[in-house]
Amino acid sequence: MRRMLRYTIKPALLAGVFLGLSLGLSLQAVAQFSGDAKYGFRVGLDLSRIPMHYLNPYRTDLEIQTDVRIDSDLYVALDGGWNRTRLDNKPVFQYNSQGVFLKAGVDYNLMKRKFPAEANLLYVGFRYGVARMQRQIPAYQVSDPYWGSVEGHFSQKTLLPQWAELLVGIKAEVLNNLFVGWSLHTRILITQNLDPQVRPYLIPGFGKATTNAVFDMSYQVSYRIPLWSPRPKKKTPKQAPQNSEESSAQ
Amino acid sequence: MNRGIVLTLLSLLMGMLVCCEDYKDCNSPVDTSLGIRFYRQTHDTDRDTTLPGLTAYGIGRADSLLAKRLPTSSLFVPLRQDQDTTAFFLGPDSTRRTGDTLTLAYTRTLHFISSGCGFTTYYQLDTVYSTRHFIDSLAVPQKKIVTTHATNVKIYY
Repeated sequence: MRRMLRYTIKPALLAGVFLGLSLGLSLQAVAQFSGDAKYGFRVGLDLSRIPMHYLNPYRTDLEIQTDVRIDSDLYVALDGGWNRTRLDNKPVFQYNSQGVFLKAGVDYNLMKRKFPAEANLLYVGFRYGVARMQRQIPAYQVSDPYWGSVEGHFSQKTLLPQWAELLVGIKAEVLNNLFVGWSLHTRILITQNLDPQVRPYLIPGFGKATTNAVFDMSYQVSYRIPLWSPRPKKKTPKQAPQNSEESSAQ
Repeated sequence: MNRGIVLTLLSLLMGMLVCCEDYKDCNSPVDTSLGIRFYRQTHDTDRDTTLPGLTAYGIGRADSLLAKRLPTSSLFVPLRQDQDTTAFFLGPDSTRRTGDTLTLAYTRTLHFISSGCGFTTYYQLDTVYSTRHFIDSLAVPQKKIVTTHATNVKIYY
C-alpha cells in the first residue's frame, strides 16, 4: 500500500501543481494584445515530456510542435520528435527501443475573438502519425524451476507504426507572440500485428502501446514568428446610387 | 465551487494521466502446465477417480517428485521448454513400484505477456501415448496448453 502511494500520489501532486500553474497562467492571459491580426509560423516544445521522464525514468521523449495559420480559425499542424525507451527487468525481460515520429494534421479554433488580433485559442484537432522505430530484446528468460529456465534474445527489428489522433486544447498568448497551452489527446493505433513476436512497449509519438487506444496530455510553450498579415477584404462600393446618378445625368 | 478548486482537481486528474508506472509488475498468469485428470470408465460413463498414492516425476528428474504418494485426482505438470517431447512416470499406487510412462510430443510457441512477466511458452499437443501397465486408455480433450489451467489429458484406469 505504501509503495502504491509512493508511485501515485507524490508524482500526481507534482504533475498537478505543474499543470495547475500552467493552466492558471493560461487563463489569466486574456486579450492583452491588440493590433492587426497576425498570421505566422508557430514553433513550440512539449514541456510535459520533462516531468514524464522524472516520473518514468525508463523513457526519454522530445516533441516539437509547429503550426501555420492558413485561415481565420484554421491551422495546419506538423509535430515531430524522438523517443528512447529502456526497460531493464532482469533476468525476465530487457527491452530497448528508439525512434522518431511525425504527425500531420489541422487545428480548428472554436473560440470567438473579442477583437481581430486576439490569438488565444480553444481548439480541436486531428493528426495522422507515423513513427519509425527500432526495437531490440537483448535478453529474456522463461522461468521453469523443474526442467530449468530457458534464455534467449531477439535481434533488432525496424517497425513503422501509424495512428490517428484527436485532440482538444487551449493556447494563450502570455507575451507578444509567446504562447503557453495544454492539450488532451486520444490516439488509436491503425497498424495491426505490428510485431508478432513482441508488441512494442512504447511507440514514439503515440505513447504506451500495450493497448490500441491511449490518452495523453501535453503542455506546450510556443513562439509565433509573425510572417505575414492577411489582406484586408475589399469593400465593394454600393452600385445602386451611382447608377441612379448616371441615369439622371443622361 | 471556487474556480481554483476546480482547476486544481482538473490538474490532478490530468497529472494522473502522466503518472508513473512500474513496468516490472507482473499481474498476469504465466504458468502453462499440462493438466492431467484421472478417470475410471464404467458403463460408458466417465467418473473422476482419485489415485490412492500417486507418484509422478519427469523422466530424467527422478530426484524431484511432482507427486509423492498422495491421493490425487488431477495433476499439473510442466513440459520441457527446450525440447519437443516430455515424458513422465506415473505410479498410481504407493504399494507397487511399477507404473506407466506418459509421453507427450508437441510444438512450442514463445508468447509475450508483458514487460513485467516477460515471455511464457504455449504448447500444442501433437501426440500423446503411454505404456499400459495400469493405464487403460487416454483422451486429449484440449490440445492447446496456455495459461488457463484446463484439463489437457484424461487418463483412464
